[in-house]
Amino acid sequence: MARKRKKSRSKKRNRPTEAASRAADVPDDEVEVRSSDGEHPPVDISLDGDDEGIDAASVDPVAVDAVSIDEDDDSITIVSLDETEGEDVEALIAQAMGLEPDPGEAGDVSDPDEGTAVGNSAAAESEREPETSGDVPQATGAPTPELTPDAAAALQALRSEGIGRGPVESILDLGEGGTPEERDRLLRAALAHIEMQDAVYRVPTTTGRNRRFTAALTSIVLVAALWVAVAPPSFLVPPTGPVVSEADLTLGVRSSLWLQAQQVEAFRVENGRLPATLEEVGAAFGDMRYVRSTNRLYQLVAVDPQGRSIMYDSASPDPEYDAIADRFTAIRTEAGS
Amino acid sequence: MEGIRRYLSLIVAIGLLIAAAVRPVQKAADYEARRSRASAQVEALRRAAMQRRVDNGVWPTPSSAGEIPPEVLGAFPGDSVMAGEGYTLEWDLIGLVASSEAPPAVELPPQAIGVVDSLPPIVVEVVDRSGVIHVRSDDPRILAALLDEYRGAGAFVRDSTWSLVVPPAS
Repeated sequence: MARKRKKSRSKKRNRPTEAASRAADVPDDEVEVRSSDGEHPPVDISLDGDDEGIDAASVDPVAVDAVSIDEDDDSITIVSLDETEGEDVEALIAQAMGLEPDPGEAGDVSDPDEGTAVGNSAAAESEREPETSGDVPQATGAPTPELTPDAAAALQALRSEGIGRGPVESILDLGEGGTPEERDRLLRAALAHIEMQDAVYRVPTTTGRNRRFTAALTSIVLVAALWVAVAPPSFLVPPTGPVVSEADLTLGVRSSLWLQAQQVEAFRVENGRLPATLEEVGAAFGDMRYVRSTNRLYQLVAVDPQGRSIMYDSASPDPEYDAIADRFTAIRTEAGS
Repeated sequence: MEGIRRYLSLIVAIGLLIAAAVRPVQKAADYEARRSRASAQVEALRRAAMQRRVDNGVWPTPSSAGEIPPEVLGAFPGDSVMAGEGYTLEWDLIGLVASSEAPPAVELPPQAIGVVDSLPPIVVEVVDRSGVIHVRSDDPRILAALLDEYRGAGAFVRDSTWSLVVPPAS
């Protein structure tokens, strides 16, 4: 829940050290510390010239919650926060830091309830950089929280993206981040978000040049694949092995004719006559034509791979069939031996 | 992942190139496997048939293309057919006529003595049964490989058929 800062006239406030120093001038090097509740007698505190703050060690720490500086009479009033019920504690502290204007009356700074208050550790805090729990100097003059340089840069980056055009106090929900740790967490989340967006935008995209190169290389590889598939080079094709030569094919035709003739002769020997057709003996050796010229003579005709007709005449076979016959006779003899 | 998607087309093209280059080698390996199997089946059938002829005096019965003769089933353990990818085996029987001369069965009659010296011998024709193995294939490389392996045994090739005559062994 956001807390709205009261807009009030800005009032210049000196640093606590200066006020303390001024107060230390009257009396000399001492400052009168009063208790706002009246329960504590005023205490004169000696200020070391080198000190930057008020040493509250001599004051009862239980009752002291804040110290109010009165510029008019150079007095310092201890403010008990028990008396500030309902008031914005952060505002009080911020005011005491000198960064936030007086929430109420301008001149009555001696009023312990509404006077500017300085945290009891304000001296120490003044040495530090302004925290996010403090205030943000706003150009508009409205009371705004103060941010660290990193937080301010993150906020600037958010605004550059068109986010958070409103006042700072509406961006930083100090209501939910009421403690410094929570505010730090929110700022870290905001910074992480910005860094994530930067990382996304920083991803290098493929340039047109790179795409063209890839496309050209892909085309070359595809053409090479097509060439290898259609006409593979010799070094990729293993040797195919032996092939049947023309001479072997011609010899095969003659061998089949001779063996077929042997079937016809075997039929004649077993039946005493020549077969009428090759189907009577079975056409076991391929396509050929059987012509019976007489009761004892016949011819077998086949075609070689070149288309030439090759004939076996039972009356006078070619001498080439004698070589085939001798070849098979030798095989039979060798097998029988 | 982004890099893989960016170069996906190039990766696919390289894969196609590799597949095209490997294809001839794979085809050669397939052929060699088929050739080896066909040669092994031919040899198994030849030995089994010859052994049966020796043991029983008869050849295995002729079979149709791819059918294993029942008498030699034991020669093809694990196979139900005499066939492989792109080829088939067939077993058949053929008759080969063998001629021999024999002395005349009758004596020369008395009236022919002095006219002729002797009666001519009698030519006797005998039909010997032999086995023949046919391998039918449309792949000429298988036929050529078998022809090269059994050239000395009287094998021959005609059209898409390789044939081997298996003579009887004593």
